Amino acid sequence: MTAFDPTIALIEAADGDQRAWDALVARYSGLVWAVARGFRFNEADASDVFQATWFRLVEKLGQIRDGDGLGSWLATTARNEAIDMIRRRGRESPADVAEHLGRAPSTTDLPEEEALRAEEQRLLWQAVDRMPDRCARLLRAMGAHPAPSYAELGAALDMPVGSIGPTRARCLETLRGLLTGEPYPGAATPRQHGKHGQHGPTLKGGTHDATTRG
Amino acid sequence: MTQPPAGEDLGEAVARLYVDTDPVPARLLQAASAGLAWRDPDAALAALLLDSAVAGAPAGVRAGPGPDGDADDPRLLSFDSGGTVIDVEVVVDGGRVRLVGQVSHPVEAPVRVRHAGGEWTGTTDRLGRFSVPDLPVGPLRIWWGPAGPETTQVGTATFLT
Repeated sequence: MTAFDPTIALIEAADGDQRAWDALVARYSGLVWAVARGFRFNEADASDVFQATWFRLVEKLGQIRDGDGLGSWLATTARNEAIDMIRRRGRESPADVAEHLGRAPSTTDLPEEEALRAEEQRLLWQAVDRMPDRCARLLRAMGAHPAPSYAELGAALDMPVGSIGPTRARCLETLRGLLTGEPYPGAATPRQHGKHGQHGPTLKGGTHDATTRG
Repeated sequence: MTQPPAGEDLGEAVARLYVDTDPVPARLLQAASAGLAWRDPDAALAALLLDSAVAGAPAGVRAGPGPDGDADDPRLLSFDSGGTVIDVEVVVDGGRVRLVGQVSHPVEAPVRVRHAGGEWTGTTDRLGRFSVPDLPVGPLRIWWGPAGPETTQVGTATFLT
């Protein structure tokens, strides 16, 4: 078992090697998806951004040779496709918090510890959803699996690599303030989320529906 | 959450949140994997030059997309390979796609359209026009030009409908 080398995988994929291509897809799909989701697209629009990004790479096979820069190229391409998507829609298409929560494990019929964790995740989702766009994009990109490099994050955010660490620290502080309800330094005006706010009392019902469907 | 985690713990909690609750959908991994079959190193790539859906209407004018896209508002795409321009009007109606195209060379020549379910083949008329009545919604790619050892077909960038 040899280590995955994106430069070699690019050469092999350009020759039509499906296994090499699948290795690239496996390695970078998390990053591409995270960039798309960072723009708060719903699943349909995020899916289009994701697919378009991979088609752009198919078209560039044989021309892109720098495997080390591939993640950054994909992150940049996904960001550009996302911006095009915003222009097409004339607005952003925010993912409904309930859409995410529907995927979180149900709190019913779970051991107490897991139920507690699911509840924590619910609160986290709601807090992240109220973050400024830049923070939401950065934290979502950092949550890509496998974890992206700082160069890839810089490409995803169109941000100098040196700004990522400090920005992340500020964003986490903002998030902590949202979670505790305490005012936080340098707080941006919160996004208007009347619609999401009204979801509060019905969240449990929505989650229940999702679980009974499956 | 009585007491949210602080500092690095909070960063890790957020990262774990996404890993747990928002993984890449499996169907998208399959779609990306299948994307390799759409490559055609022998064709000259006609890059997307213009997309009316992106550049056309001023922000705020377009209505929100319906379940089948904007059925009454044709989308115009223009692709350029350097020597050949392919213009396509895309209409999504009732979950199906209709294409009306125009190639910059007014000659009869083979044209084919790859779609999620296979491939449509036809011919441009003497004015370089072609139309495809009924395609599935999804990725599309158009090739045009005589195929042969001494000619190069033009293939558009893949576009999503």
